[in-house]
Amino acid sequence: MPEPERRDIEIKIGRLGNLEILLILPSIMLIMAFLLDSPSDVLHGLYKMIISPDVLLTDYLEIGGIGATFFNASILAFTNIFIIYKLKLKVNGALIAAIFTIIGFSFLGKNIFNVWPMYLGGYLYVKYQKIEFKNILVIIMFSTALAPVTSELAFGLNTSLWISLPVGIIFGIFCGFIITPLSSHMNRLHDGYNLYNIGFTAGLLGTLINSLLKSFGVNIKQQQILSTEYDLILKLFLTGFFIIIIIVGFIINRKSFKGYTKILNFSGRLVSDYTQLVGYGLTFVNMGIMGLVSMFYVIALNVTFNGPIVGAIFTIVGFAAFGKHPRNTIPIMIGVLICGFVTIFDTQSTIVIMAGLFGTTLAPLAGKYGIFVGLMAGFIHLTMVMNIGIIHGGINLYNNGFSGGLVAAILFPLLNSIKKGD
Amino acid sequence: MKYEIQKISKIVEEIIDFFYSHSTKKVNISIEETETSFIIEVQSDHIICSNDNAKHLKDLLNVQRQREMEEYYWQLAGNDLDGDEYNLVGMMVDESYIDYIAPSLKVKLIRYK
Repeated sequence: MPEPERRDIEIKIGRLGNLEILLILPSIMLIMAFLLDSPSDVLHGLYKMIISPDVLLTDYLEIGGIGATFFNASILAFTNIFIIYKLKLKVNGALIAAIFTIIGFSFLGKNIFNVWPMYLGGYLYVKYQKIEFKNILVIIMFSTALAPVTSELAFGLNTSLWISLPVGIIFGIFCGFIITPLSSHMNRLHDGYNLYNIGFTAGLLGTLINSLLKSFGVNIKQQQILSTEYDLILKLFLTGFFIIIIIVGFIINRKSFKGYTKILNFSGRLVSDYTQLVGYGLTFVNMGIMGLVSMFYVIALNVTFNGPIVGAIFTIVGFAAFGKHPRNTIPIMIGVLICGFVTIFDTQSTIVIMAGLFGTTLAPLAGKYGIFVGLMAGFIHLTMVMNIGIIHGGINLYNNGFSGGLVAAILFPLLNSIKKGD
Repeated sequence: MKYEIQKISKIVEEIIDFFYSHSTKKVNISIEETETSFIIEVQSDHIICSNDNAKHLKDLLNVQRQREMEEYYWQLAGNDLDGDEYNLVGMMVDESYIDYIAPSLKVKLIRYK
């Protein structure tokens, strides 16, 4: 008799149960926001975050403080979970990845003002195409990678707000309108081996927008604003959450980790939805484990936790429901590290740590072709990502997704052509 | 619906891939368009496939249709799949039926418009 699928064995918690689990993290953050800062500090910090240009690399912990950052992340998460609830969507791996990516980037560029023009653009697109909004929700949630376009134009043009604010919002709507057909098509370029496909799409689109702006004399300046004062509290917060999510998964999987090793056998190539392949329980366990693995990577390098690093960790945790697991991500992280040691890059800088974490967008290459290819992909990724941000001026928050798309588009056909057999 | 024919082609391509990766020599394909749906049937009388593999395919195809996934990822269907990614087809169809009595396999998929 074949072994029953884990998803048939685990406790059935239903759509609402899964949504409630997704609410755990934003609920914790909302409570912590007002425990760590006063309401007036939170609101003041939020205002400062909204009017900042938000291009890479903007750490909201430094701009607005920890209370405002947690509040911002929790509100964006609550709103998106509510949209999923209202549209009656089944909670799948892609939606979990999208929610955690939004939470993560709420620490470094997405805020309660600059993401909505993208949603409005998406809404206009579905009206134009006469399709339902829920069909494109995943794409629109990820597409908020281009949220800095709105902020940069609205608050960074050094002109009257009466002019710059509508311009920023219109550009955001425009991006939301065109990103759906673009992102679907871009999948073919890397054949599903770059998990952050929207990052690749947004990178190309950001390059176009940046070029247009430069042609009209508008130069977007990249920046590096990083916090250093929240290291311990972030470590405690993340560790606590990852342990909670592992326990939740353990309970759903009938108080067992049985079947977890099965997840390690998947290549992780798009579309690997672990909620369907192994069930929700083991997916949550994998998310917690990937969170702890990512934290260990940062701690082992003796690097201070800040907003961008937390953002990268949450993104990995989200994609641990949709392609990532320890076996296909660790080689990429080590590949980035090796590159950092032998090249001119500082392995302890936030941008290199981010490359190591976000570089796991290439996990499917390691998953399919093995450890050596994973190491090579990580190595190449770092060299690429360190030189590519300038093309789009930092307005694409998923810079590593852009780089990952290019690396995968180059490596995949090469690896496929030298592979033996059919 | 936009790209409907291309999506049907991708689904068929994917299922044929399963048959050929299990050593079939002849595959019969039928695609029927009705007022409300597309009905795709793929059948072979000679396929070398374990019961576990057939059940695995059934599990992967038997997931709820997810239009949000389809809109984003449909272009990946039919490209170099490893086996466990057949769930993309499952996300693109409303009903799936698998009949496997070795060495004969029949896959029937219904996709509502």
